[in-house]
This record gives sequence, structure tokens and C-alpha cells, in this order.
Amino acid sequence: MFNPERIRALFDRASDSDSERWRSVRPNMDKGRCTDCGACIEACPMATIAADGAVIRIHYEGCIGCGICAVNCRIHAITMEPSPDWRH
Amino acid sequence: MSYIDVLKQTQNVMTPGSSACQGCGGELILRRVMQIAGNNSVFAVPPGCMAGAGVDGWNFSNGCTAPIHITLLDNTASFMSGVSEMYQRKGRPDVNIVAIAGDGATADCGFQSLSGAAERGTKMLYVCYDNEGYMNTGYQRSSTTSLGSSTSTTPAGAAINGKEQQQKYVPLIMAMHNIEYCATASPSNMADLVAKIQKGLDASKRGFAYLHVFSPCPTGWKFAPDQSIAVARKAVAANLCPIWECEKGVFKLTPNRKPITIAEFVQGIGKFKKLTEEEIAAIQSLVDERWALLEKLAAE
Repeated sequence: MFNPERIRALFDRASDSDSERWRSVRPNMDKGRCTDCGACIEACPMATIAADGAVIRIHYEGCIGCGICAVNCRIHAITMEPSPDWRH
Repeated sequence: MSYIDVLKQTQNVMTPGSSACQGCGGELILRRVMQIAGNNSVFAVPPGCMAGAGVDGWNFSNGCTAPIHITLLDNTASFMSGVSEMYQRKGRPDVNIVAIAGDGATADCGFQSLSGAAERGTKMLYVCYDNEGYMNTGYQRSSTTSLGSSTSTTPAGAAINGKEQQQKYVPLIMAMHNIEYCATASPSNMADLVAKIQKGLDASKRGFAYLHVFSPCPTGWKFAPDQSIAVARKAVAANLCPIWECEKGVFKLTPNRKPITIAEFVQGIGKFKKLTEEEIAAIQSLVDERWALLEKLAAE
């Protein structure tokens, strides 16, 4: 039977499980070494790495911690670190 | 403008984030095609990973910002034929008509509608991301699955040792339809992929364009998610995914400067773990023959 409260509860539960909670690691970009070459932008399947003008930044909202950016960074400026929001 | 500048400056059609698996090659290809096509486009994605996870967005907080149709598994090309015809009649040939389908919806279920649309010369771009199986439902074999791959319908065990047949090579079949533009690409060579998407979109204004993109799947193939691009790079080096294009019957093959063997390619990929020496030799002979054929076609 249609129960608006139950459906609302399902929505609330869904919105409580965003990617920041379930990724165990996340990339950390060392801007001291980064040359803004764009190799991470072309490799990121989630499009969470974007150019902010000439500077490349990681936006963590959609990142699921796959590590492709770290592997494809030619100068090893990206390292994977434990995600502080990870909920086991 | 270099391809990196294109990627830096072009708005994404799909907003960041999705519920696809970590390291998904299909997701990367989908986003790249959509980004280059832009918002003045109509997309179609048949059931598969990219319909289930890619374009739906994640958690109601993101999604696709251009019109998109989730078609049936077998009617993507015929569906988009109608959409294309409607836009031509309305006097809107500027709209990009783009279908993005997996190998199951391209090589198996959707092949008759794809072949029909190609033969009619429908003005559209059809992109196939080939992850060698039906990944959305748990990796069942498809006709593009490589010999010896352990899938959920051909598990390597006592009775059989993975898939017993060689893969079907769809891009050459499509090139033989005499279409406007046909090409293969790999996410490991992004400059080439971006250029081919642009060429394909351009050709879709004149006739049918087909793009076959190799798409590694960490979940189905069983390798580490961060190695996706590396696996695609190895597949190109091993000639499993030769990079070529065919414009109106004129073939252009990208040379393979540092070739590796199939035995080197299968290292570290779980689905090939139980490959026998004979199977490796059979795949090697298939890719060698395919390369020789492509060289002959490109030489003419």
C-alpha cells in the first residue's frame, strides 16, 4: 500500500550513503609537484577532476576512489590516502 | 586546440559521479563521447551498465543534462533512425544523434537493427564500448568475448575451460557496410579517441558513423580497478585492439611500435587465469591474422 512516510524514509536512507561514505581511499594531489598537464582529467572515469581556469583540482563529491588518476599521473603527484569519511 | 584543452574547457554533459564500478572503462568512454558531442545532442543508451549506472546518475544528486533515451536492447539503431529522420525533417540537422551501446546490444541482440541503419546510411553516430560481455547482469559471454575467457555462462572448470569460441570482430563487419566513417579506438590513447569522436560526429551529418571502443572491465575481467587504462594500453600493444579508421572505404591503420604477445597481455587478468598454451596460441594466431588483413586493407 502507498505509504508516503515509508517512501520518504527510503529516500533519506539513500541520501545518507553518498560516495564519500563508501570509498575507502581517495586521491590527494600534491600541487607542489603537479604541472597541470591534464593526464588525470583524461583518465578519470567519474569526471571528478576538473580544470579551474588553468589549475586542475579534484572535486571529491563524485570520487569513488578507483585510483586511475594516481596510476596515470606521469610525475606521481597524486597519491591515494585513506578516506576520512569512510564508514565501514 | 589540443585535446587536453578541449577536455579542460568543454562542459561535461553527465555531471560528476555515478554508481558504476571503480575503474569503469565504459563510464570513461560514455562521458568522453557525451562531452565532445555536447548538449545539442540526443543520446540513446540501451540496457547495460551505462543505462543502469552510467546515465542514471547517483543518488538523485546528478545525471545527464541532455535528452537521453533508454531504448530496448535490440532496437537502439532503428530507434535512433526514427529520431534522426524526425530531426532532418524538422530542419534541425545540427543536432547530434548519438547511440552509445555495449557489445551485447551491438554485436548480438542489436545487430540486425544496427546493420539495417548502417545500410540505409542513417545520419547518426553509433558508439560501441566493447567490454567483451554482458557485464550489467554479471558477465555472461557475448560474441565479442575472447577465447578462453571465464564468464558466468562459460566458467573455466572440469567440463569446459572458458569460452570455446573465438571473438567476432564487429568493426570490420561494419566497415564492410560502406558507411561514412568506421573506426576503432582505446581509452589508453585519448588524443586518438577524442579526434575520432569529433570525426565521427562530423561524418554523422553526412551518413552513418560507427566507433568501436575497447573498454576494460575490472569487475568482470577481475583485475585491479586502477589498472584499467594500463590493460587497455596492453590490449592495443598486443594487437587485440588494433587502432584503425576507415573513411568511405579508405583504411588507415595506426602502426604498433612496441608490440607485445598475447601471453604478456593476459598476465594479471583474472578471466584468463586458466588459459592453456594452445588457447594462447589460438588467440595469438587470430590477432596476427587480423593484423595482416588490416595491413593489406590499409595498403590498398
